[in-house]
Amino acid sequence: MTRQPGLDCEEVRDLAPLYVLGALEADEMAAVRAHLDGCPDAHAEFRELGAVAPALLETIEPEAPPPDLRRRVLAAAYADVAERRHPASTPMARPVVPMKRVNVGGSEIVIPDRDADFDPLGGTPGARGVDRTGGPRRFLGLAAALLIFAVGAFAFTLQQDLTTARAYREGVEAALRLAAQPGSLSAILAADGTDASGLAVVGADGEVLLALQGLEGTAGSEVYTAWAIAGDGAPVPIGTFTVGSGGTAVARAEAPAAVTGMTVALTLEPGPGATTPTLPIVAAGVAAPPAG
Amino acid sequence: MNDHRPEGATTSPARPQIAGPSDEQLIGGLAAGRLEALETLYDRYASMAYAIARRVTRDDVLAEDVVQEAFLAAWRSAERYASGKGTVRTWLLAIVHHRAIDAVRRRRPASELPAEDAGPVPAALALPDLWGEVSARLDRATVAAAMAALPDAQRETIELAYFGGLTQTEIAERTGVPLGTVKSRVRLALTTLRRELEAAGHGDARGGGTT
Repeated sequence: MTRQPGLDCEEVRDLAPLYVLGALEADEMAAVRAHLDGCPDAHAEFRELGAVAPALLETIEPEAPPPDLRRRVLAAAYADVAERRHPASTPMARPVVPMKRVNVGGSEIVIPDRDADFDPLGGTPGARGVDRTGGPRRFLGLAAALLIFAVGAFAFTLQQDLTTARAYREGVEAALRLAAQPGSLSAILAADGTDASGLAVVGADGEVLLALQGLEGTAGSEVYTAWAIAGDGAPVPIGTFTVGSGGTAVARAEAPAAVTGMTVALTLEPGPGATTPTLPIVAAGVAAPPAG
Repeated sequence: MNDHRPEGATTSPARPQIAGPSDEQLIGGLAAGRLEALETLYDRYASMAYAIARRVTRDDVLAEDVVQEAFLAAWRSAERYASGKGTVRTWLLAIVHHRAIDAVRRRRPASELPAEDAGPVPAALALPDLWGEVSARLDRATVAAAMAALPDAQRETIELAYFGGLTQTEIAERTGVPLGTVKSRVRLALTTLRRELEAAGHGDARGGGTT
């Protein structure tokens, strides 16, 4: 049933008992609320009758929920912070990667600065996840990338969408395994002004593994395209992929070769088959061998 | 607010609260994004929340979803909790109840969704009322006795509305009485309950365990 939006005080008083029990139609609830918001009358009946409602809940015998629910609630709350949906989430909830300006293929882009010091774990709720990645020492040169993506993967494992989480974590693990191979190069991908970040590892034979998070989902024929830019050469498209609402991507691409100092960049293209990148760069980074 | 036992001390007789942060301190922790505060709050109220959700949804799986949604809503909106508007317990359980009703109505295709978007609790349900604090300290037996004392038709109407999630129109259809009768039954029932519970809540000697 529908009512005119404007209720007078008497009508509102009449609806108070049903309102406090939530037993009005949606439009009536809204009309009552609108009246209360603007009415000079205190409408004490809402307080008086409304106070009875919580008492009714006391008639219910407490009953322990399945033990697994506790873990799910905490995991969802954790993901809230990691994904910055919680009001107290700070920018530190995701590692801040120092950036630098470089000239690639004739245009200037901003990419992660691998030489700068940074603390990828500062204030990060997923810091505990690092314990899970205590890999061999030869990963040390990749420590920054490892830490960032271990944290990312850890945050995702706690999300409700376990399929997405697992795919992302497996993608990160596969990339890190490839990074440990002789001759492999790795790049941290990020960009100013986007939430996207990720890892690209180029194997000695040119195989590229990408694991990215924080991407906008693709729509229609849109595809993300990965580009390899060696030295001053032109960007070469090396692979495309689509992204769902989860914002993560695990993709494989094929670069002509692994060249130290090559830039791996990501753009969003209106469709497959792009031969030149459509700006802006969604994320980019310079591929380099593990330091040290 | 007042110097009563910490909130939560009154929740479930089966599990007396040990000393720890007050509920209000926990809410501060939630607002600051501290998981351990949520953990403690969950341990205090999950059983009550789950029982409410099950009672309303009559569906174990849906009830779990409702509890999760409710705790997440509390987690996200803890900074909007105002101590002057009732206890943490009342606030939290009202969210659970509200979400449960929501879930039930969403399951019924014929029914409109409640237009609840801004806050998890309708403002007027969260208005300050000292009597509400009294009611929150009433024990189960007292409230159950007051409910049992209502005329059957009134009690049924209240239960269909508050625990069944039916609107007045649906109650009228279900029970075959005119809308006006539904309205007056709800009014009479709530007025009677308030009077009875107020008497019980203020009668120290009688406590809650009158038989």
